[in-house]
Amino acid sequence: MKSNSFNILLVEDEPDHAHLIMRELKKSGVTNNIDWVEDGNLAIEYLQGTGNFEGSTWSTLGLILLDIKLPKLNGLEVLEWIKNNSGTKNIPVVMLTTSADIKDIEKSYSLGANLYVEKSVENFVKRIKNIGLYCKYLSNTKS
Amino acid sequence: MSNENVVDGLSQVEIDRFIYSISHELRSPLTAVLGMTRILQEDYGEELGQDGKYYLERINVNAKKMESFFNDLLKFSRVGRIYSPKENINVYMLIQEIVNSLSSDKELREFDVVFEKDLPFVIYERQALRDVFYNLIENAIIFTPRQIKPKITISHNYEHDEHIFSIEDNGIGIERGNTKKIFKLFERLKDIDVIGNGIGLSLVEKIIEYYGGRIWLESVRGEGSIFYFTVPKMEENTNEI
Repeated sequence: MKSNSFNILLVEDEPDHAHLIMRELKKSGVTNNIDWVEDGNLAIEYLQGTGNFEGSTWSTLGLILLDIKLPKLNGLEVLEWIKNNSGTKNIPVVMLTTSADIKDIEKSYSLGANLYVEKSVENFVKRIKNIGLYCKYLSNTKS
Repeated sequence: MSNENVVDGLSQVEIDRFIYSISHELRSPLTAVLGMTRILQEDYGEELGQDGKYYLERINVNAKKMESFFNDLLKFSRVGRIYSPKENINVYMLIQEIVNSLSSDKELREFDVVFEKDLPFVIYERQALRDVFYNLIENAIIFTPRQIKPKITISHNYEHDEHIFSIEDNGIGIERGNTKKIFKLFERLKDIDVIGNGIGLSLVEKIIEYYGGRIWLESVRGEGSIFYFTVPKMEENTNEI
């Protein structure tokens, strides 16, 4: 896989948060294509290449940014699906949430999340920039 | 409408769940507000002019106040629900960490902390005990008149199988009739010209009582206050410093 060639899937139901995340990633120098879906069901459809995403494939995905509090299917359920599916289980997943609930953190890691990032008010932008660094690291290791 | 009417008929668990949900839900749009404010500052700051920058700064300051309020409310609703396991804590070291943190807070003035006696190790949940000391020390600083440098004296005694900690200040003090009132959620005394969110002391009381202790205070208006709280002694609390 060429450097920066993988796609990023962003699963986030708040359009303003999605806008901020995508903007800060771009500003951090992340040039990867970012696909954005707004709920858990759409994320699964995207990964399966079904429904609205007929023909899409997880094989070009290098990173999933997954909000926990999502409509229809929540982020932890989507994470469980990703990690139980042989095709997607090795894709790094970063959990994004406004919750610092220790139970959510423990559950995320026990289900196989690679990183848990709290969308705190004060440090939201800084933390998104750190994800940008993580993206660039992944890009380099996959090149 | 009074607080009592709002929560009438609800159990403490239901109230905590309600507070948790509201605080959590409101943090999400607040995150967006502060994020967008930051974009305005970074990318359009120069175009805003002096007045525009001022108003943007005020949005920022007030949004951060809201964040602090929601964070405190979340802590209040979480007492006993999602704290970590108890551990053996060096109280002196914990207070030093808090003092360092408060000293770097630009909103607060310089202050002195004096340790009157050696402090023990106690078995407690670390974040909970931190919240207790943090709020009591921060309150002591905030409620000291501008012209006086806050002096906080921390002491410890051991009686009847319990640790008794005291935090004494040289602040404005509290009228005798208000010494219970200040622990009520959202209660702010009308004759005190200091802005607080009315959660700190309620959180402190809730934590202490959840862990089997008591809190009370002695105070003289104009001369300062001494807050006392107890921590039940556990077998392992033997290491004095």
